[in-house]
Amino acid sequence: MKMSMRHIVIGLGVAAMCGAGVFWLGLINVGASTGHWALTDWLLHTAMRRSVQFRADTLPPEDFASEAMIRRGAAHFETGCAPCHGSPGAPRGAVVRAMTPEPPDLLDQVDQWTAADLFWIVKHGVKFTGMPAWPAPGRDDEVWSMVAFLKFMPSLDAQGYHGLAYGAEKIPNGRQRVLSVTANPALADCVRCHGLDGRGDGNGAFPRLDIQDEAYLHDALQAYAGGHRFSGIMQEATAGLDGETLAILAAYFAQQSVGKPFATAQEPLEAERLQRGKIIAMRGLPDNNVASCAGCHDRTGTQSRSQFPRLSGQYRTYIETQLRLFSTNTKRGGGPFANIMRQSSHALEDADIEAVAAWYAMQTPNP
Amino acid sequence: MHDTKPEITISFGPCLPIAAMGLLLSGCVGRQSALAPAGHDAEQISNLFWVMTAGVSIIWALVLGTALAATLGLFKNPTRLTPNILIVGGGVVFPTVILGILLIFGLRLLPNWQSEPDRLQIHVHGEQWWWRVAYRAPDQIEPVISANEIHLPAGQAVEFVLTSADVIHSFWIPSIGGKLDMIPGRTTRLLLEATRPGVYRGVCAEYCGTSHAKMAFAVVVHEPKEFNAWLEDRTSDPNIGTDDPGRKIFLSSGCAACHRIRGLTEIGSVGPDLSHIGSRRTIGAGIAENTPKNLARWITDPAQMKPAVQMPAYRALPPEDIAAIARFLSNLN
Repeated sequence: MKMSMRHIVIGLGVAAMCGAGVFWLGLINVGASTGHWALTDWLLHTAMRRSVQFRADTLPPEDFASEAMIRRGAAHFETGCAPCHGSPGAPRGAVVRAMTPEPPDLLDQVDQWTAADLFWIVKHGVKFTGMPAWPAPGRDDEVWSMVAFLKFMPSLDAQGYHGLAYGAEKIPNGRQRVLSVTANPALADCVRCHGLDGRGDGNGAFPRLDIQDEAYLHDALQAYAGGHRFSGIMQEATAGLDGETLAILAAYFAQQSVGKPFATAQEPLEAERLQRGKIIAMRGLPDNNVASCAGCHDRTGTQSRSQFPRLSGQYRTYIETQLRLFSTNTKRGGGPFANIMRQSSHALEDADIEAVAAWYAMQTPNP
Repeated sequence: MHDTKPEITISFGPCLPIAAMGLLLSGCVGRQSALAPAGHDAEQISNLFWVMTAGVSIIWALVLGTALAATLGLFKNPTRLTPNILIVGGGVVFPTVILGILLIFGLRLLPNWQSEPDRLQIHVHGEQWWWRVAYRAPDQIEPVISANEIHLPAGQAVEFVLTSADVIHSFWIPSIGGKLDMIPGRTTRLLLEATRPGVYRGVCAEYCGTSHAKMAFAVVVHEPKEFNAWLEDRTSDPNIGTDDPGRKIFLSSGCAACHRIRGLTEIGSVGPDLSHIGSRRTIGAGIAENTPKNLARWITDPAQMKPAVQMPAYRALPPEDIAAIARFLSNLN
């Protein structure tokens, strides 16, 4: 039989109608109980691997795999990832194992991917798998922390993991953290990272809260909880907390006694940089339209508004990260006064950000 | 029964030219007109304009008259006006003489740039979109810093030193003189002499970005004695109410990060100097009358009054705090 154009058109029409029939009649089984066919599984999986490898092109930051990044990643892994993927401390539960596809146990997975691959997966998530994207699209710094931890995770046992995720490790002054003192689950969650005394870990993984005023902490918590300040970690940590709880948390950390700065004497090479930082802090860079930090922050005499955060004694890395987020002028969000910082810092260059952050990290906080 | 109403017809016809003329002429009076000179330079430019206008009118009448006469055939017996005389006389001799006279006349208007060290210098720094002003009298040690308003003595030549922070601006006080470009990386100089005391308006005359049209300044010309008293007053701190509630809010809210107030806070210099702001006529670089209400509006959301302005909005401050700051600033003089 000779195939004519007519036969082809009729054939295609019948095939299309069969396809539409399968679709409309509900013949496709979406039940997760049966899993995928081996072929479907192979197709989806291969598409995923190729897609990730094709797109992963971001280089890790300079401090990648630092102690602070691993600690920050671990603490959020426990909140955001372990419920599905399990952790060195606890295997996956029966419920998540009944998902299709099953969320993989990551211990034997992470070595199959490069850091850039993992960054892409954690940042963007994977369609049709239940793997979510990072909730704050502008917070690559947080995503890299997670990747740093993922790469570190296979070397951890249950106890080591617990120490990183819950902060049960020794902190610099040698005290053990005691979790049982608080019965408030929201506060217990804060304390995992920021410490009972609000001073963080001493390594800059988490910002110090002990130096801050209650009004600022309350504004910041409300901004996170209300989705106005963007952070995959803090938006998750504050999700669902009511106004009363946020106020209690702010009051708790504002009441903690103010500790000394963790940053100590810098190398002699840094002296010049610190001097530059001091000039920016106290005078600004008028020629570049950078206002002096001290005009708003940590004023002596007439004190700054209590809604303005304090910077003296804050961790260098935290100040740097926040200034970078502000100066890129997008995706940082913040409390009611955040627009002032966006306007004041957009002209700051990277070297200046490092200088001013290093200087503030060494200042003694006001009690 | 019909009421007979007197019929009223209004014809706008005759009004139109009058209205148009009114519009045209309204540009020639007041605080910002090159045709109502209040300065030596503006007067020369104005004179030049009128001489040129008169000359152009005469030449225009001559040329058109000749053309008309030729068309109507009035030159039937051109015994005396041969074509050669017309071409050489009208096409070579006449323009050369006229343009030569105009050149000499124009060159004579160039300013005398002999330097005189005892002149008052006013440094004006153009920024998007405002004016940083510094007065330096010959016997003065520290310059007097101000912004967005320029005070001049009548009858004295003042040297303007013009610079720019970002893009090309142009400094122009139509009633007194100018304009001259302010070019980033270069210093231009302008010598102006105001002649008539009064209040005038200066503008930026070179497109410089979103709010170029909102970059103006007030110019106040004083009698020389009065000017000296004014400058003397500006070398001292303003009167700052020590228990003014607005003072504390000004400092605690971070205004001082960008703005200096002599005798109160010296750290900020990104934005305009606010010492003596209460005595200025306008705010926002000549865009609104200086009233507590306008100041409060400005602090709340400056970009609403001047698009793309550098100053951030202080919407997050309680309105009563903003009002207190506005009152505090209004009293600074």
